[in-house]
Amino acid sequence: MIDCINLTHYYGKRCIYENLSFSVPQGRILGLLGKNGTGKTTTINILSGFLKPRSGECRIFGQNIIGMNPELRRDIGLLIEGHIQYSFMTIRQIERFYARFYPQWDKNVYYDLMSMLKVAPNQRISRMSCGQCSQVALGLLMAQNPKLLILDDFSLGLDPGYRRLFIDYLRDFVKSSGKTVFLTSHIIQDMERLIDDCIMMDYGKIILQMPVDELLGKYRQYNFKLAENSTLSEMADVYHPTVIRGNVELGSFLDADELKSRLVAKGVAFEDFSSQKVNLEDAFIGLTGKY
Amino acid sequence: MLYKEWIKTRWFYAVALLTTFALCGYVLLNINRLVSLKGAAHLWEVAMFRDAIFIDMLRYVPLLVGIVAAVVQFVPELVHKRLKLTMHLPRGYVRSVMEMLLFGFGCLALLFCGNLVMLLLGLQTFFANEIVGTLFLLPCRGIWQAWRRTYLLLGFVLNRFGADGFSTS
Amino acid sequence: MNRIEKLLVIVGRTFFVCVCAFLAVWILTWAFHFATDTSEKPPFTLYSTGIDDFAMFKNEDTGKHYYDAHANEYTEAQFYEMLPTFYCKQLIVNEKLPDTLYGRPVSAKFIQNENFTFKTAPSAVNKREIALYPLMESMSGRVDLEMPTDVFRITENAIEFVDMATNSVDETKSDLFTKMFVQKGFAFPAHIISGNPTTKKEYDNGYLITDSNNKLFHLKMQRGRPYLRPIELPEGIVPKHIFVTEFRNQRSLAFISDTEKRFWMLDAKNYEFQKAELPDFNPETDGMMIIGNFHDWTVSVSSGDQLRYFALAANDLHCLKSYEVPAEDPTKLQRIGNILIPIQLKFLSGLDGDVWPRVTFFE
Repeated sequence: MIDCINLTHYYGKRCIYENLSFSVPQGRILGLLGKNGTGKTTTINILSGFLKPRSGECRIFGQNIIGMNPELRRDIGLLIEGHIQYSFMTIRQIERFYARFYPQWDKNVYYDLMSMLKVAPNQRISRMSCGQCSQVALGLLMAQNPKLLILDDFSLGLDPGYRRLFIDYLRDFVKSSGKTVFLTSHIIQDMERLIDDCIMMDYGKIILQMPVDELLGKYRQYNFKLAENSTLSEMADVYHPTVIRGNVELGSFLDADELKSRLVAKGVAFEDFSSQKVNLEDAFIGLTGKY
Repeated sequence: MLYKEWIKTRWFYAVALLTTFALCGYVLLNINRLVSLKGAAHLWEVAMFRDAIFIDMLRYVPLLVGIVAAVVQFVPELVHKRLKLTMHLPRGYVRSVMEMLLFGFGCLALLFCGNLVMLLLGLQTFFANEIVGTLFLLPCRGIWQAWRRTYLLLGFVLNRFGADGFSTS
Repeated sequence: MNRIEKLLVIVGRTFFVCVCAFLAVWILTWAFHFATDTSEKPPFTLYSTGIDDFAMFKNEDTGKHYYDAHANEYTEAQFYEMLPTFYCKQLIVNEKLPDTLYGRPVSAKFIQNENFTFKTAPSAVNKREIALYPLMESMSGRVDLEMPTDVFRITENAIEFVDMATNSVDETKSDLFTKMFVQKGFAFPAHIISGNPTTKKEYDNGYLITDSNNKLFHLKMQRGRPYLRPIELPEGIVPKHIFVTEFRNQRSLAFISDTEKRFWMLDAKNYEFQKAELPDFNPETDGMMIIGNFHDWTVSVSSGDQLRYFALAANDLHCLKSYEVPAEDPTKLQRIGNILIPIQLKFLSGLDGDVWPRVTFFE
């Protein structure tokens, strides 16, 4: 559904990333995880056609985004960071406005969701809370019924209740009709409930792209204590080890035995070795490092 | 697109309609007052030989209305990166902008035509057609130039900066 | 983006660039003239029969300067005596006014009665006028003239009088005048209508009007009744600009500039044309000032930067002398500016009262 090949982008002289490539298969929900400034919004902007990359190519539905026929955007649903909408309109007016652009518009889906909002029919969106705005935005996306949804930080500004509602509705909507979703969010617990696959970005590169189940199944957080006069040297396949008063915490896809044997081979003496599975947020911090 | 523009700007145009017509009414009442105080002959004389316009307080009205119309129409499109919404619609961005500009252009044209008709009818009760024609040379030129330049240029520039500032974000 | 959108983008960008270029040229032109324009007033110049030359006076930093076209210097007293008709009052005060001038007995009253000034400028000639004209009563019996309560217009087939208070046509008066026009062979509509719609004059000569066949007529109102007299035009004269005159001496009815750029005086008593011996004069581009007395006229003609003086004999308007004021060289700054800003754009002009773009190249 989405293919990005060798994307390179700079803001002035600052390199955001070079030769970034990834694909989003059809029918999957893919989350883009990364720290601030790693290029998540840049990628969304490139995918949405708002930004032209310095080099590389981005294809949606097999078509290059640059020069894509605007009518193909009927099948792309976009959620802008902050659930931005034309806030001078009421929920009725905004539905009437968008319906004219999308032939497959289903207004019943929209009004079903709107019935849950405790708002007057002629209330302007500008007078609604953040959560209510997010519902309006979600309702519009669902009514549009696109094949591909691009959501930029869908949880921004929402309280836990609205975030849960958003995720549940979205997941149900997407899974029931085989949609493809590409999204970002700062709240990784939400991502964990929603996404099938994830791409983790670090500055300038992709760390990994794999299904979340596989990631959480294979990734382990290891803790052990270094023996006296023992130090931890650089090791491959180990992510961001931290040592505080001889206590080591690190992440790896290696199993416990494999890791132990590598430590021994390196001459690292250790004790109180333990391993645990972690949630997506801890895996993300482990893979990208704490600030 | 015209529906959205109408929702966005209808209150502005309602206020502009009332204000501009009220100003035209005030100008005509003022002339009526001058006729009572100084006599029609005096007004004809100053119009014919001293280039008095009588309606020059309306000189900057189209300019101001044009500027405010451009701000009211385009600033809401640019704040909070709302331009992304317009750019994402399944139709060319340029077409969308052109429609917005045509809408504003058309509304302002109707508004000012209404003003001109009111002024025309009012002035014809006081002055001969030759004098009315000359008085109208000023507002017609002023309206045409101010509204065309200001509104189109401002709308175009706002969109240009909006899109450019946008592409670097 | 489809073809139409690409075209619109190109048009939009071109428009933007053109507007920026337009504004840049306009502002540069304004800034250049603002910084460099100098106004050098020409000296006061009048023909003197006494020295058979043009006498000039200029106020300079060093004081008042009296001289002639051949750079001969004079004192103030000599200057006044060289121009006795112009400085008549001053000479009376100095008790230096002669009893005869140029072979003719004169009095102060006679001189003052014969003196006149006439001025025309392109901005006034080219000004868009409102085609409504007040026709004063020229035989009211009163000392002062009064503005009428109505104005007239000449339409495709009639003359109409519009009452200003009611903004309605006075049918009776309009019919009366229209009948006179038809009777005198006036072919509607009018081509030129010229008069002096002011009460600040000693008497009223009415209007001179040309019809659609360029025939000339003299219109007045006398005791409420129309006076319309056809004036025979000499062969080959087609009036283009008419300046009705109401000088104290009542000699001339009007000055007329024709399509061949000749300048004529129309005699008030016998309606005869007298040609002034002047070069081509176009009131639309040239300014003229005449300071006249019973003996001679000093005519100054300005076109662009060129200023010329002509002395004409008052009786037959033949040219006695002429003088061209040497043109001032542009300053170094102006010369540099003219090279740096080859295209200049202004909206106003001294030639008319309109506002529209005027472009000059390599001024």
